[in-house]
Amino acid sequence: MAVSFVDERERVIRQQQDSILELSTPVLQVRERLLILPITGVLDNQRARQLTEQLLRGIRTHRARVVVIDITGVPDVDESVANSLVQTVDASGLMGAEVIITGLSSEIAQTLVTIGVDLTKMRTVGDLQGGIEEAERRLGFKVIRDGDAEH
Amino acid sequence: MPSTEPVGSTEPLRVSILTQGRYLIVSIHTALDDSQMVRLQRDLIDQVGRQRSRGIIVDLSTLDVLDSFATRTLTQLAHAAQLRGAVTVIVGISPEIAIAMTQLSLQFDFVHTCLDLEEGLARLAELTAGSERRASTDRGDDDH
Repeated sequence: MAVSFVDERERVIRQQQDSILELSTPVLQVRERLLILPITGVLDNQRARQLTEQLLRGIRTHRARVVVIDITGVPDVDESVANSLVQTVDASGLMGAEVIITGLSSEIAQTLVTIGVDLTKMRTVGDLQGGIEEAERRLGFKVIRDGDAEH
Repeated sequence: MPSTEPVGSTEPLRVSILTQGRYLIVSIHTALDDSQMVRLQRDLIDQVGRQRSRGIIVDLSTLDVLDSFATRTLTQLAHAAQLRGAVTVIVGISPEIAIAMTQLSLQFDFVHTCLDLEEGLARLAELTAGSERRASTDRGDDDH
């Protein structure tokens, strides 16, 4: 009986962990066919897996063609998380979506180069703004500010 | 008494191949075993030739799993189709299959991947418009 009480508590804890994970990696549509996935905090394997699943479901739901994954808030990644990110990019591609990764810190940039991640598969842009602008270009959006002279 | 199932009309339809203009649309309804996959590959290449199709869409949305044999067979299909003048777009890969494929390092070659049939048809239109332009300017050499 004591065993099942512990099991039940563990189950609740796992469930709450899952909820926290899900809330912490929101997949946001900012334009038609364009998703943004802002990541802050420590990115470990479990979170990377969870984020991949959420992203792919988001790609399906929103019929996204471009995804911007922003890791400005991620201090560093280890080799397995870096590979997990590459897998996320590949999996998104299988579902018809291109991925742009933005906000790489210099630590992460160095880690990726040192590990030898296949960077030809990954499109990266310095910051989120640049990433969104490129995504919009790819989708054929043009942003015009009121008052700017046209032609 | 052993019963012998007549082959053909009573078998559930596993694959349908529809013609849409210069495209072939292939829907796989249930998982195919290895020999069925090989037969599909052969039938499709035949049809591409007979109908002079410009593009093939393979819809995998009803599949739960995709193994390495199927992946290789689809890659070979796409390669052969390309040699016969058709591009191949695969659609309907689920999140689960996408994740499994990347974890096992399975990938397609000679193939474009899109989310669904609508996207796939749009992509085919883009891809085949290019080659029609090239054909009409009568250039001998394609770089793709």
